[in-house]
Amino acid sequence: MRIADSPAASLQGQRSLPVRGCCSTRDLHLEAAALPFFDANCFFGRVSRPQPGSFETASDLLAEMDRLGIGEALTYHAEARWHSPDYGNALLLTDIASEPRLHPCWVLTPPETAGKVTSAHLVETMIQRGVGAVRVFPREHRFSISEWCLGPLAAALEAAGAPLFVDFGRRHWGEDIVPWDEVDGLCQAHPELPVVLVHESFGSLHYLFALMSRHPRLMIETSYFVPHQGLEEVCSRFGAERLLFGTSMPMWDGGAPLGNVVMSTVSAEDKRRIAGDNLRRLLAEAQG
Amino acid sequence: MRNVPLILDAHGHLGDWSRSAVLHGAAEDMLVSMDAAGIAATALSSFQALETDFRAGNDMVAATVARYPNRFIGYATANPNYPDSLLPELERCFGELGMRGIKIHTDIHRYPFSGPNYQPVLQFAHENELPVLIHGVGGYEDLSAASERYEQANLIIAHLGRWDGIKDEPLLDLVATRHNVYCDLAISVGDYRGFERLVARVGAEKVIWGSDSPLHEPRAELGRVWFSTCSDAEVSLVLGGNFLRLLKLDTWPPGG
Repeated sequence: MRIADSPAASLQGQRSLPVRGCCSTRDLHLEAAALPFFDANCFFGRVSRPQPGSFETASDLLAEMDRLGIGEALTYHAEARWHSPDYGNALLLTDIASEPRLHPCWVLTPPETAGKVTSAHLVETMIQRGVGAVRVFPREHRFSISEWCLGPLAAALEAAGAPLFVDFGRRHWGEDIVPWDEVDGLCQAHPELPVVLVHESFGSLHYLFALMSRHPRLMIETSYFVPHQGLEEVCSRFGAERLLFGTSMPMWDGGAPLGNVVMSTVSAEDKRRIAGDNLRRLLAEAQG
Repeated sequence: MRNVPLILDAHGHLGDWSRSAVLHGAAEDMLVSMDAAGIAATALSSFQALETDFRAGNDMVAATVARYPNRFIGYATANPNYPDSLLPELERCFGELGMRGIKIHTDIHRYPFSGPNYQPVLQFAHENELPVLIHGVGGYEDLSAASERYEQANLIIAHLGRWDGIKDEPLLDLVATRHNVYCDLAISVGDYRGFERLVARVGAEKVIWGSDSPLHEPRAELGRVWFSTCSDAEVSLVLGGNFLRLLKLDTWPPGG
């Protein structure tokens, strides 16, 4: 049947006030460039299956940051994640030595299990070499973040004030892949350690918000944090200092997390904190 | 700097959804995000209509559209598991409630797109030249047959815009070649330059912007398009021009 004319149909034709933002110009690039963006989550280097049109070198990363208006980045090397942490972490320092806008993040597994060096010694060396953050991939690299496995490294990082980025490799919001009790245990055992959960989203909110209520140093990296008004909710309930802007480039697109921050309705000060000031402060504390 | 085009969100929802924690799912909450992003209007189906009482859920959508007729567009949710109610509910939704499109969710309803109970729904869309937003279309043959048989219905394949640019995705061949098949962009995370590759493959005139708000954050979904390397003309089509065409309108608000 075809739809008959109806009162509801005529209602839809009524005029209203012009919609804000429509039929004008807006320069979100300029708005992004006005914020002190510091990407907490990116990498460079060759991978086994690159995205078409993706980039590979530190120079490429800087060019994309320039295009998007991102001033600085905390980056790891693909070699450290997918080949060898020792090899990739060393290569990272070489490759970004002359790039002051790129800051090193080492990829580590629990040092004690390899039997080569203690966590305390490794973290001391790391700080001396100007590395202020560590990233772990517990599922991908097959270890636990429980105290019996990651405890010594967590303790050394806590003593140094260096943030620990924890990436469980989430690709879909509905995946049940995070050992939340272990996250709780890590934060409980190391209350001063800044723990940054990477790639968590709206499917994890019941877990995330319960844990954030318990642990003041638990933070969220924002590349996948896209619940509706999620940034505003975290700022309101826990404070803007719990959010770190990240893109996951060149695996994921940088435009979405950028738009999320640029168009958020949090205060200008909170927007600056999320965009980059929080990460700057964390790294300064680690180097202090 | 981009010219700000008309921005219409073709894939929205309304209310709570217990499978996730929807933080701010009321219409008034959505308006806050829409205003911040310059989104003129969002097309809605309610989670209640999808999951439980489709009639009550469709009423919720209609009440929202009635409160904000220039900011929201109603989708009538069709549940194939209640076949006797399908056509009467569609007639109610379009004859009395002012809906402008149909929402089909084969995953939640656990009913195949090619199943017989969807045929009267697609026939209704065909006769009335309606857009149908479809979550889950089965395989290539299913979509191909539907697009041929119901050629006046405009079939928007939800989430197909998540294509990573690498794997084989034959459904995109149908998007590129059939006049009445489109894909939407709703995706919780986008692969690097994935939007640009999608536009290159199917053409900007076949990609429709939808956010899945208030499950997803529309400002993030918008950023993926806005900060892309696509031209203003392509972005304008994707963000609103294409959906406006499917609604058989020249402007939004209608007559404005």
